[in-house]
Amino acid sequence: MRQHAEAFGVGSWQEPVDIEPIREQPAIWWIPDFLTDEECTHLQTIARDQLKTLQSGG
Amino acid sequence: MVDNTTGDPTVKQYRTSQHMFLPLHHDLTVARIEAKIACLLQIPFEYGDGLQILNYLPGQEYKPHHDYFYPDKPSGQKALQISGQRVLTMLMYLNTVEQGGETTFPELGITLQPKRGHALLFGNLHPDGSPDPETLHASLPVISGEKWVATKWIHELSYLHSLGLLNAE
Repeated sequence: MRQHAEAFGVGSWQEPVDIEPIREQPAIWWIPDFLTDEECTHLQTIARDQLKTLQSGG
Repeated sequence: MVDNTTGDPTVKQYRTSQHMFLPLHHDLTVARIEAKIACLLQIPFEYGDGLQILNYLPGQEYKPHHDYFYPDKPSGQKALQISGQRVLTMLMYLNTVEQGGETTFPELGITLQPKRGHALLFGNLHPDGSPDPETLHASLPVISGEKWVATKWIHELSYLHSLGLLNAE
């Protein structure tokens, strides 16, 4: 997994991520600033032209 | 409205967003995100589905539902055989919604406002592995603006298992 992360340039893989526990059971956490602006924009861009209305669950 | 075959509510009744699925490692940026998730959770990427990206326009919502598969329904049994139960759900908010679009857990009295780049992670099961009904959650209707979210489900089994490349775990 570490090799996988390093191969894709996850430079912060060994830095502690700020995780805020909201509840213990069921466990819920809030993770501020997990994605960068670039990553958010990229996902929207590649999805925009391929969106379709759901026909099955998930 | 109920599906005549499965007895389940039809999807359009409770989910009105649009979506698409990205294959694993779709591109370098997607692979980097998958690696970040794997590192955060300490779970290899092959236990996760490809990212599902959802877009909600004003008025669109996803009514209260569970992410786990229902073991007593045919569709759930089939999914469980392939990849096991959905253990974790990670919602990554791709934009800050102007108004509405909150993620809410009605059984728990918890409601969270989508903020660009932030993520919500929750478990779907009891410690003994059985589905936890309290994980019921919903996406409230977007009132203004739109909502973009990426979802990652983490399963009990690696997809390599479904391909016959690993023994049952």
